Amino acid sequence: MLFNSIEFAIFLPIVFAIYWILSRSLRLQNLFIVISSFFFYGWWDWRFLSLLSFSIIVDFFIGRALQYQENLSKRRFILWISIITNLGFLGFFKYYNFFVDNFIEAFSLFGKQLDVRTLNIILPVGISFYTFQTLSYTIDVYKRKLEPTNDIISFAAFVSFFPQLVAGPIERATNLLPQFYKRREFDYDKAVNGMRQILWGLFKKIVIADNCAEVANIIFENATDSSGSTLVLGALFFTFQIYGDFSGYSDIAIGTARLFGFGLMRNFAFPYFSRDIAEFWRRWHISLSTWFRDYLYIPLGGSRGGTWMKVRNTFVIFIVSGFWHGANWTFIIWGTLNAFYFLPLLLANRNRTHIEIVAQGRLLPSFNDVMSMFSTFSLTVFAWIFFRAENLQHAILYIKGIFSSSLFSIPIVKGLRTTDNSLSVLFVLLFVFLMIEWIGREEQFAIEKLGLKWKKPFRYMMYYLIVISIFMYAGSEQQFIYFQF
Amino acid sequence: MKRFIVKILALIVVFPFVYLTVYMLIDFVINRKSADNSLFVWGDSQTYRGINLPKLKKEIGINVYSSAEPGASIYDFLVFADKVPKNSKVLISISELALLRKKDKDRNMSTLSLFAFETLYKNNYTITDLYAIAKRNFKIRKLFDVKSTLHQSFDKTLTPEKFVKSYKENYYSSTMFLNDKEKASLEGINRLQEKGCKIYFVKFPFHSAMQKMKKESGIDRKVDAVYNHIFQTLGISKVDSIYLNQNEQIMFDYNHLNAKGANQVTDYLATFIKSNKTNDTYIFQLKD
Repeated sequence: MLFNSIEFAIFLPIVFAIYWILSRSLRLQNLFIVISSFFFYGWWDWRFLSLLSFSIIVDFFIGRALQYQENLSKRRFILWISIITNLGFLGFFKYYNFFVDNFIEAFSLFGKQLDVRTLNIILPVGISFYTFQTLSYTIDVYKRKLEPTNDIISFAAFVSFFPQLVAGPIERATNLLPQFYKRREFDYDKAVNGMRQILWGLFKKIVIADNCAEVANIIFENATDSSGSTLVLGALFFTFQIYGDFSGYSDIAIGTARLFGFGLMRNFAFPYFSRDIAEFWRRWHISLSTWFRDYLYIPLGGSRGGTWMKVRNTFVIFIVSGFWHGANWTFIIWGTLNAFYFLPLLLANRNRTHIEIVAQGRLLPSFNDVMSMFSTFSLTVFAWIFFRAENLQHAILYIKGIFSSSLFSIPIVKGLRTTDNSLSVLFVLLFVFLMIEWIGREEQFAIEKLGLKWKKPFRYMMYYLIVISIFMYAGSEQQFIYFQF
Repeated sequence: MKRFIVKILALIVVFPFVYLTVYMLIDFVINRKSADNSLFVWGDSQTYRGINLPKLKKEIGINVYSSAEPGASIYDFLVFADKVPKNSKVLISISELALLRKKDKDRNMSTLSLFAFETLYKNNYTITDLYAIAKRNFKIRKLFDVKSTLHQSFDKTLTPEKFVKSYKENYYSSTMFLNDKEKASLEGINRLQEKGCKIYFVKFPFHSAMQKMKKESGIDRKVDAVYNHIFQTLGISKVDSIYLNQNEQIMFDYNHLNAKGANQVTDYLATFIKSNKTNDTYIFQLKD
């Protein structure tokens, strides 16, 4: 079920109403969350509910086993069962064909033909997200940062909680699980805040991401026939598409969770206003970056140790992060490229220079801030080309096409219908969007405080304006990009 | 909780009225044209690919606005008939493909029109069909375009077997919707006539491979009967058949003209429109 679908628009109010009717019994409420979440997930493909259930059962009992086990080597053994089970499923569904293809290719270089077949595997939606979420639980229990739960319903609700089940934010058990133990009271302000975040998320997804996707798709599909300037435009539109798509999804997820009285972690903090790549990575897909930091980077030694150790760990975390996104060399190169971007900052010990919000307390940024944001944004746009390309050859062709004599020509997007939302309308929408994001960059999401002090009619007019623009300027429906991960 | 639900419900209830008001306002601003010195074109991909709009404008010396879109069908035609200004000159081409295509495969994207919905409802379109169409039209669109996107040459990657086979399966295997679409399109023509429009009706050619398949399908005769009804409604007893010059490749594929073909058609149309001939129906054909 997509957040931007009619089905979800019917599902959400029904679940919301029943959930609050059940508010006298915490256990019933949690059970209802599990049932609703399974319904939400099963709407896509009910067969994979078994996989989700299996993951819940395995990690619940592993948590219990860890609770009663004091012997360190046995504890470690139990933890490994969880890691192998979870990553085994992920590896099979997501990476099996990738490894088989690459083995076959590698052996063929030495003249050996391997007779191994790839399988027609359907990737279960959200597997990368809930696998990491359950892993965080067992690792935290193993490290004794968290008491294992004895309540399987709460645990199932934590793993399958529908707002963030299929595309995050990847929650930590330490943050989300305890929320299922506490009685939730309906909070008007929280609910209104949640609705505002949902509204902004829908705008980002339907207006910004889907419209940018239409243009970016045409340009990426016709990369060989497009001029350098058009290809730059394509990469730019993809840059806004992926941001609108994924941060829009996260906003809807966080807002929806808030309607049910839950607080999910922040996933995006205006990353395109970052002044260097280190800041960008503190602001982009925060739940995944911090997951890798806590469960991979730090266990590997983090930034302790010598320069070599720091460099190695940085590359490991970026490459694994790239590979997490998908079984394709393009994602690995994307991760590696970001590691290279990050490296000079790390070596110069300047990776924590920009901790505060850009131009905090001021309306306009300084010239230096503008230049830093521009250069970081340009590096990011370049890296996204690998992320979007079908394969490495496509990415290289695309980049070659950019750095050609036609780079300074007027961009032409062939095949774009002039009666549909034209490019000029899209530029205006992007400009308005960026302005709103800039004004709201000190908040959790851009319109969190926008209009709160206005008189009611003006505030409602703002809401209507956003909803009307969602209907009027909706791009053709595209699936959320991160569903495939 | 009660306060929250009441406020959300109030916002939802008021929303359709606000939305429709804004919708009508924008529609008025972007889609209102004057009938003076203008020709309005409607059709599907055959028209979209088959007329060079800037050339036609230059040759006849008046504005040419086109609502031709690939996949356009009866809903789009009814919207056109509803929104085109009174007493204007219109050039329409209701193609066989638009009449034969399954309802849910039609483009159905030309903004909202009560007249179009009413007409379709009277002609056996179900509530589900109408809801699907409405959903596609929440977004407002510019109805009239002045630019052409023409194909330059014949697409050599196409094989007649594959192309014709797919058209046979998708169009010439059933006449399930033909009757409903015929009645609805006749109502669209009536609407244009009521508005005092001068109507030019055009049919575009098909490649000989398609012609052969059409004849073999047996559906050709049923489609011809529909055209006879259209001609009767238009009050036309004689139809001009025009054979296009095929000394050079004028097709892009098996049912669309390329730029050379489009230029030929445009020249003929310009001559007819300028001469104010009484016969207003032209069928462009290819010699076998």
